[in-house]
Amino acid sequence: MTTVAVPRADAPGAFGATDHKRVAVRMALTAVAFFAAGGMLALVMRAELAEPGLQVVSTGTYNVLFTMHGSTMVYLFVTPFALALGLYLIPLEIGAAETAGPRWALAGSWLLTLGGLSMYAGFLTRNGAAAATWVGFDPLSDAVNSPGEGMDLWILGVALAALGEWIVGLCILLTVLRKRTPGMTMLRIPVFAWAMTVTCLMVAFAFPALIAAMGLLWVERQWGGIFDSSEGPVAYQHLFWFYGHPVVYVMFFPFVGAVAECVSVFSGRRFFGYLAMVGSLLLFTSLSMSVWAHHMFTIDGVTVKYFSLLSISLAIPAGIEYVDMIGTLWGGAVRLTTAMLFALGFLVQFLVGGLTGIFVGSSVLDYHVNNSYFVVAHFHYTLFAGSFFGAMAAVYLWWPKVTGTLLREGLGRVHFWLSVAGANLTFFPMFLLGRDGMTRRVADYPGDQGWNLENALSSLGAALIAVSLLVFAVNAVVSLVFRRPAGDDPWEGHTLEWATSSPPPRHNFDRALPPIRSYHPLYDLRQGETGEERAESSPESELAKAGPEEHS
Amino acid sequence: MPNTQDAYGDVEGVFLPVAVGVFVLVAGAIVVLALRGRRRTDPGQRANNVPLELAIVAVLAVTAAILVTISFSAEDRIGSAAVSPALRIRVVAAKWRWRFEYPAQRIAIQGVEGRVPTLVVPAGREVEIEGVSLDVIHAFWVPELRFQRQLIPDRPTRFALVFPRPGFLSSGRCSFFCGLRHQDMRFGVEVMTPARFRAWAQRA
Repeated sequence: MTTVAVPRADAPGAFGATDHKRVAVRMALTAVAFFAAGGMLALVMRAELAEPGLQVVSTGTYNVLFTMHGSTMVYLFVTPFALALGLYLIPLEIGAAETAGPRWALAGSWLLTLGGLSMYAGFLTRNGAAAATWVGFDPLSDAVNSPGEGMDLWILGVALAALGEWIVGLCILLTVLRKRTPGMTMLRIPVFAWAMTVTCLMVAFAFPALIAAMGLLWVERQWGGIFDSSEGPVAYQHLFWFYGHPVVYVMFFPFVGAVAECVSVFSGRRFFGYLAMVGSLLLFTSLSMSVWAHHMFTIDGVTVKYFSLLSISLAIPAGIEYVDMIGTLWGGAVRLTTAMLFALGFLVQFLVGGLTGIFVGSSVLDYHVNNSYFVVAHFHYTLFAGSFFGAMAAVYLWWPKVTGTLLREGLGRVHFWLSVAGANLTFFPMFLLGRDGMTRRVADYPGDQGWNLENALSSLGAALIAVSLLVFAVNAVVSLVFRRPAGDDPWEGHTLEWATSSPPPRHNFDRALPPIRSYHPLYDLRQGETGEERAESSPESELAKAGPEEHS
Repeated sequence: MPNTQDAYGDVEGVFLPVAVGVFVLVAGAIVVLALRGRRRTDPGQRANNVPLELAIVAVLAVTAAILVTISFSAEDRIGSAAVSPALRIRVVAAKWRWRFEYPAQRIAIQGVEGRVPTLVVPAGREVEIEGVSLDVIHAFWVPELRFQRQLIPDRPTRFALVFPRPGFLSSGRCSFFCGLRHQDMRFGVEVMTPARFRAWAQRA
């Protein structure tokens, strides 16, 4: 150990502590702050679109709003929040005292913050913040079409954030590979840990493409000569989407993992089909690195059949995950806690996003709905109605571990049902609008197209989402001020993070770990306590033992 | 003939019912199992069922194969443009207006500030369009035809379209974000009977 134990004042401690839990919590809080900012931008957009005509902002401002909304949510909220979950939980779940590369993780988290501040600093420049979409399409983002420092600050910000995320992702990946406690084989790490592992594999291999794209874009803006040929804009899209598709799964898998933990803990059952789940995550990962150009079906000359085939094939691993989740619920003694409600909400609503994903995976269907509100509806069903619900399931599940106090279940249920109403009211009408011909990224639309009702409903839904988030904020404050101690294991968890105090001490475990013979060591411990003899897990013995489970 | 409307309809006619069916089945299972599970006190022990899982993988693979086949066959029909189309039109996109050129007929229709231009085409005939952009990426989208294409600077994009029925379509638009006044970049489509189109082409 080369760590020098020099006592330090408190202020540097808050900014420079290398404890993975403190870094992760600060990273998550930063991400939440950016989420609040990005959410405000969305509310202004929905206010503008509530009725035809320009009422709230100018066209130019609107273009900044959707660019910064998308950039914030992808680069500064969902990805960092997912990585923060991993950074906090992975060492705990695998019985490690520390993350791999703690100082690297610290540096990564600060690069991320710096990147976000750089992007938002664009608002302080004369031409305003970037307005060339979250993708930064060339040539729209070049010096001629997007003059001003706002665009430069955006490029710098995206590159810094991506670099920070890449570093943190590598730390988590190395933690899983190198820091597992004795007995914790790769096939005994929890489902969430597997989800984070494949997430970080994608971060490791896809994020450098984004950093490269930003570097090239910056050179293009200064001196030109990068994307000048007629294939330049196509090359930029290839480079960007090589990052831009895998990142969709980076923003999805960690929450699938969290939901899997919720479903198995709150069904009182071991996760069903662990091996199939691991296999499907690996298959998912390899496919997700190979489908990027389905974002480019409408470009002449793209090999649409190849990308369409692989995109539709994603239904196979996705189907396996759903079967495993349903298999876990089947025969479970279900406790509908708020965490479980959000987990089930994730499963049902993400399904809409996933199925419409298969829909746009067909090139012929994509020729119509590409760049329409249909696509906006599709990815908000995956990211908001899906991932965000998964993130809330994770928050309700692990809040007691991180803070040592319980959230209120009553407020939680109000939060959940308002979120369900808000998400569906906001995003479902967008399917109809898109199919009917409304393009995305427009501040205004003609009043005679029959789109007024859908837009008004969608804006109303956005307001409901805002209210639901306020309810959560109240819940968080109530929980922290009027503390109800959570204890070590309020949910009867299955995994090692529940075998230590809440919050865990500096080096995570101040007591001996339970024996690790499976991916659910605490579940095994409880089964032992109740005197139930369990044979060493082998599929045959389990098949022999398990009776028909449908009746009860 | 590349009838994009029919191709889209054929594929959607399979994909949409399959999606709705899967949704009802899976979401229904989740809700029912969660509600029934609330009354249970002794949870099941079973942690896998290999034959069942393999069977489901097979069902998923077969379904995906069918969907891919249907999509590919429609894709082939769209891609099969005639060697000598009835009409060639050059579509020029620039921030933030459209220009439609008919080289053989020596006609050009130019959109101007504040007035949406109209693309004039014959009904039921194959029209070859060569699209090009003069500045940033734009996209040519006629929602009624269920078809769009990105137009990239200096990279001519060719595609064939059939406008099935005569009538006026008001919803042509640029679907690729192209800057400040992207939303104003619209056009109408006047679909004429072939005889009327011939008369129009001669008069213009």
